[in-house]
Amino acid sequence: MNFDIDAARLHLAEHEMDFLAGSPVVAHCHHFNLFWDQTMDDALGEEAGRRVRTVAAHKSSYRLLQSLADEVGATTPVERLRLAGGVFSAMGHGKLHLAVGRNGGLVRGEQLHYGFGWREKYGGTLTRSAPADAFATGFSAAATEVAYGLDPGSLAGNEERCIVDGSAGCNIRVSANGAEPLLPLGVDPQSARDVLPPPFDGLYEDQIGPVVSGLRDFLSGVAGDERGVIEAFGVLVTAHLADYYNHAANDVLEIIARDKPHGVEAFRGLLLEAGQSCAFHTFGGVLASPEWEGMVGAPTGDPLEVVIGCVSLARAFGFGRWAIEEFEPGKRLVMTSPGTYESLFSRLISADAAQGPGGIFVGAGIGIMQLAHDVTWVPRPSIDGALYLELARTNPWHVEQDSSFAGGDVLDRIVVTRR
Amino acid sequence: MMSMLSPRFARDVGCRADLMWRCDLEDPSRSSAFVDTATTDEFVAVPEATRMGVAVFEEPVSGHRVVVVLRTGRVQVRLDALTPADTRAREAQRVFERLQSVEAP
Amino acid sequence: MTNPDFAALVRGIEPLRACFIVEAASGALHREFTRGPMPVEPAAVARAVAGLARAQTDIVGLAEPATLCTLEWPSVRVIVRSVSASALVIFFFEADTKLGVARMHITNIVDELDALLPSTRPQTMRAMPSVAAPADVEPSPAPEPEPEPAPEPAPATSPSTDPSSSRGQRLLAYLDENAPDTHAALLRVSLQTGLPLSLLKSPEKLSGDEFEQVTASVRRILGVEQLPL
Repeated sequence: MNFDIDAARLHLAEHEMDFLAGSPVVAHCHHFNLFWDQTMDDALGEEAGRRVRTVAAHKSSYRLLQSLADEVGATTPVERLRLAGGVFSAMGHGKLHLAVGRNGGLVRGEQLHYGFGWREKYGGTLTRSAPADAFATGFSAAATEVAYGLDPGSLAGNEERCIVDGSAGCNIRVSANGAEPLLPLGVDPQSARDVLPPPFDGLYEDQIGPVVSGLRDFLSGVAGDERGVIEAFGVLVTAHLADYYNHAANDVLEIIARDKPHGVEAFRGLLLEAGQSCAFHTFGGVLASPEWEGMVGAPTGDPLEVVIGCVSLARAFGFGRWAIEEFEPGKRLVMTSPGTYESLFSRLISADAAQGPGGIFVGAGIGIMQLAHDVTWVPRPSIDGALYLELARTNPWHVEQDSSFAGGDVLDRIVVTRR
Repeated sequence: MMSMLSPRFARDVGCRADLMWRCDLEDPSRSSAFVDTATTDEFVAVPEATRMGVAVFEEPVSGHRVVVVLRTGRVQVRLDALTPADTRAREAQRVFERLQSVEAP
Repeated sequence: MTNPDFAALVRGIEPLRACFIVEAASGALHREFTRGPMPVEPAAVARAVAGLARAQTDIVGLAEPATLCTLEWPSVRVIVRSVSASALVIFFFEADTKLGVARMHITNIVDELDALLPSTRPQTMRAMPSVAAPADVEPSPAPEPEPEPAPEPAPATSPSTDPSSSRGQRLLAYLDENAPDTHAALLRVSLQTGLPLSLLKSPEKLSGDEFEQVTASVRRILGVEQLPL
């Protein structure tokens, strides 16, 4: 079933956030997604990490699918399973064949984003036996529950076979075994409106606005193809449930703060690294793409132009209404946002909001400054892994978050300066 | 008859290995003519992707796409995401050679 | 960064003073063999020569594995050869080596070098977190099929052999040389083990138990059962 993802999308324009049937969605590429999952597993070990990620997927997917079924009037199990498979593919996560009944069953996956992405990125160089598709696994359990009107947590998923170990395909078993009740909390548009401060303008809004508008226009036509693969700007991307990341990171942080507190600093460092990598690779990849060249023009190497482009992309990807408060080329960047998809969750959902994990806004600050100053854009940019590693080793940029919406401040604010 | 493309064909910035390749039109002002001429039974236009200053056409049998920046004449060969890694360079070269055979009208 | 197979292959070439395999796109060093001190810094040469090779392919194109350039420096003769679309080999011969002899040696081993590439490429590829290098290298029209990857792509480099370094230092140096996303590797070890970063930055202070924890973490990050330490 082809699913019209745009028909179910709500764009909260004043805060540059997107909701799919009431659940926040953001665009992230496979590099970010793999690194994020890896960090969760680093924190807890592969098995416990996968369990937390699967539960995060289960909770966030249940909210999405229940609301979606209600919105479109899908009432029978067949309709609901078709709907689930359709939205999964439209979001760019691959293709699911849900052969499930009330007590579970077998789900076959094709081109599942994480396994496929892992094999693409690491398959020639690393070995892996632990399955990669926790998101598809939790999603499959949730889809079955919603289809048959079961409570969240009635069923559990387990990926029994995954292409990361050389298997030909991915199999997910959904069953009643080991399931625990789940509370599928999450951010919704109304609570976002209620809690986020009024939006405010930053510098260069007259340039950012039209670019964001153009990007949104472009992205409105982008959805998974018949294989469930999205390529936008040449990047392998997903429209992902923001609360998948948020549930996982918050749950992991809670566990390691209790069990191995010395690991918290590293955990935060790695989430920051994920944000930095996202900005460098995804934003950089888009800026170097033909679509950007056609729409905006190829970057000329002017740092301001790059910063404006990156802030525009963050908005268009649903990260929040990032704004430029100050920019002094070569020296300093101050970015603000009434909130991000991370800090909003922490403020609304986390048990200890002040300790919310965050990472995307702070890490992106460094990535944006690297793109603006440390990449040679003319005649052609070379935004690649080797350059990223080189810049990471010689990084001259330092970032501080001096205001945290999650922690109770009125907004998110970061300051990036040259060391 | 002359090819409309300059002979240089190289890897382009891309998020996965060897999927994006770049060449350029000798005369960027002839981008539209190139797109019109290249669109044949072998390469079909992808209207939903042809906007915002780029034209996109696809080789249906392989799923490979060609993205042309109309203003600048940049041409990107974008191999299908599922193209096996060990065939990518060869596939890119094949598509490039096919594009080279597009002659100026 | 010496790989035993690679070193064994090139060590037998008597007039060869050094040999490096580098990634064509970035100049990143895959493999290094040197015989005695070198008057130049290998990584710098690798980057420079990769740039030179790219410039050459811009001008004349490159379709087949070929000798790209020969440099006759006062102290050494340098021959750069491509062995695939993604890799270059840089040979440093004694200054008085006849070019014909040098080329003969290269011809004799180039096929074996090619066969080494699948096990040499990972090191750099693993270190690349994302975007593929936009190498200005033309694709080979009919690339040779690459051999099957090794069942377990063990990290290719040997550990630091500095006798004055502690085993903790050697372990983390090895990780630094071989980890994917190498700049984030120490954070990953800290997160996996729960050991503070400050301690990991002074690995000579690791206790026996901590060393074992770090070893297990390094194995996990590299995806191997054994470390060559």
